[in-house]
Amino acid sequence: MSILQPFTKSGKPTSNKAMQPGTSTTASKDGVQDRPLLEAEHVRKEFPLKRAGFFGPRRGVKAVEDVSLSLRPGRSLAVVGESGSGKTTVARLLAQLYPTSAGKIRFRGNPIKGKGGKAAREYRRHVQLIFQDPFSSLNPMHTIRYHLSRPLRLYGHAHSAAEEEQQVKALLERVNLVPAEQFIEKYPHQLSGGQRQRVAIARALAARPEVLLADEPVSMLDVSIRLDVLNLLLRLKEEDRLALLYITHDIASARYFADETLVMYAGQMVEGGPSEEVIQEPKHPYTQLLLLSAPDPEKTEEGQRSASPLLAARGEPPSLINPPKGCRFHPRCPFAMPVCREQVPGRTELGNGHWTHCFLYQQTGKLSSPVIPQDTPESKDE
Amino acid sequence: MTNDPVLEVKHLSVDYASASGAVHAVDDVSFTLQRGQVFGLAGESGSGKSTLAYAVARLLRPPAIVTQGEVWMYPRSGGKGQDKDENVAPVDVLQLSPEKLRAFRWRRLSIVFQSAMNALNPVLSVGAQIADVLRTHEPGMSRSARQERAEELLRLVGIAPDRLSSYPHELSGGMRQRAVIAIALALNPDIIIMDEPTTALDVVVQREILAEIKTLRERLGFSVIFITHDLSLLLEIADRVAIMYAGRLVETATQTQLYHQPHHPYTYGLLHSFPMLHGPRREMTGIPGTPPDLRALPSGCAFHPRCKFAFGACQSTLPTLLAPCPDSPEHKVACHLHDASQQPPKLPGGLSSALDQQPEIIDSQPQKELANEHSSTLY
Repeated sequence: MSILQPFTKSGKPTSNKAMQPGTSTTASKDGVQDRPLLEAEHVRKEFPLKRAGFFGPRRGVKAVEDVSLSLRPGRSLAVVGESGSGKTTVARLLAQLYPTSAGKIRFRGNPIKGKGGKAAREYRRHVQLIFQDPFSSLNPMHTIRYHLSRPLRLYGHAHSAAEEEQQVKALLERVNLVPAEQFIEKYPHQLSGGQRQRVAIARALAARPEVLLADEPVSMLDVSIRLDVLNLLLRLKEEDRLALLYITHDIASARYFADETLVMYAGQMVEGGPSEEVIQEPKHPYTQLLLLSAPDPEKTEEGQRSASPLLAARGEPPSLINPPKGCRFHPRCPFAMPVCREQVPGRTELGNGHWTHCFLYQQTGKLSSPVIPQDTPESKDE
Repeated sequence: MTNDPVLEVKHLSVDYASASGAVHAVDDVSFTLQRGQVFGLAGESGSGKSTLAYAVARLLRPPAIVTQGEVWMYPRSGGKGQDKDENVAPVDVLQLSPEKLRAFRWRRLSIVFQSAMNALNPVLSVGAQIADVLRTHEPGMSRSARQERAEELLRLVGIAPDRLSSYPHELSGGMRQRAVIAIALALNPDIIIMDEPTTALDVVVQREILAEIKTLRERLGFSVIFITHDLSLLLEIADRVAIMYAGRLVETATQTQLYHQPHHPYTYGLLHSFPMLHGPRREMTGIPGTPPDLRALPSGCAFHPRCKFAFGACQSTLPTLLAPCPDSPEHKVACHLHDASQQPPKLPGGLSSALDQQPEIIDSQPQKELANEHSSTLY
């Protein structure tokens, strides 16, 4: 098998898996598809703060509270939330940039050890992270060739200068930076934001990962080229059957991009399920607020929004040093009940893989009448 | 809408002098801002939208030079506001003397900058920063009157007046942005330029700020130049929208016209660049290529290398803003496809259907319904 095969556009999805010594199972056939590649189980993360005085209480930022998710080959999962919701922390926990405070992260079913060193390097061969800001994630002192050849060498994919050259070019072509010769000797400052992000994606691909964690990959890019980069990621996901985590604050792009969506608020998961379900039929009041707030040219009249009692939920996410007890959304939630202040709501299955953490749905799994008017086209007709 | 302009920009051009020759950041831009209107300026980074706004506010410094054009401002004639009727003659903004300019800024035109974090001074309380404006621009005002006005302003933007003594770091992002808006409102200006006022904010907070801007505008009657790269946001808040590309206006129209009948292929591409929350999920394409380098603009229409309808004239001749439909003279587009004199190629079924060959993402139902609205809100 030619070393270049995994990079050819028409290459079989499985081709690069077969090359990796660690991949004993050819995890490509449908039966194996549903086995999660990377899982987080009840993961918590608390960043310790300085004590207030020597005898002061131990304090910490409770950035992520009890998050469980799983990434499957060839599937994409979007994590949606505002700033401070913990979504980036989740990505970094999965990438092992931080150790978890509690909970487990499993890769192919095996719990990973939180320590760095050899194990971490081996882990990064399989799990790669793309950062939000392509202006700072590339080293300004080095050429594109350097950025792409380093992972090739580190992970032992290229054994000679000629191989390296060939593979760097193949990588550039894969992310549509053509002609590759034109880009290979350039420095990051000579590229536009979109091109830089493509280089960052190519660099992640150079390790031939199975899991790609994309942390707001397009939010720093111009509107007109965002879709290009998203489509590129989608294509790569299909070609390599990558398990993709897509972190975003833009819930509309989650609908377009991800098979499944998970909504986070102040470090807690509030709702999740198939993207279309979550976005068309949001259940948790916070998801509904988020959707109501998203810019939508179809709703030019403010009147269409003001009908919703959710607008009373104005305000901002709470401090994570001293988060509210119970459901962290309860201080803003117009439907908060006494129980919301006391207990963290458990997971309620709503069918079709759609679930939410909200006491409103805990009893029956379904509300008899929707509390919140839905923004369906029908409701506009009045 | 009645024709009551508050600001007129005529053939404005701004260059940045650079070692490799002048960069035309803004090139021959004309537009009119009506009183009480929200004028939206959309474009990608580097399209010149901020430069244009700063030129209007006379905030540009070398190496930026205004090479041609005029900016006329028509102050509110009498009516409400403190001693607003002293000067009702139009103001030639670009010719103002430094002294007059000082008086003009803030009273007539103020700016809300993109990042509230940087716009506020971190070592002064919010109250001190409002008082600072009042002290400079209204020297006769007493201390207690300043205090009162500052409290009034905070209340106006929905912050409790007891936050006057707060420092910026004690406020959340949304509150900071509100405080910046309060400061911009301090002298009750005719025009407020808002440069990406909500970009750094989360969607929920952004929604609140937008609602706030809308109510304030209704109450105080100022006009807004709203600059953003987020077209979907602009379509919600703006009355008129202008699309900038590579320093030039390529299309200007009312918000509804632009949304439902975009003429310029770039506008069309932008409208299809953001995924929608409703309607069928379609494959989306975006706009191929990258925004041009202003130092080396393509000849003719700057968009032609990215335009799939480009023909001969696009590479050689610079298109000008024209109104292709006689029944909507306010909808202007700079594109040869709409200019019969350039003999554009016959597209099967006309341009609009050719554009629509890209995946159509608008539901038929809301479109029909909004079409009614469209006819009723037009002049």
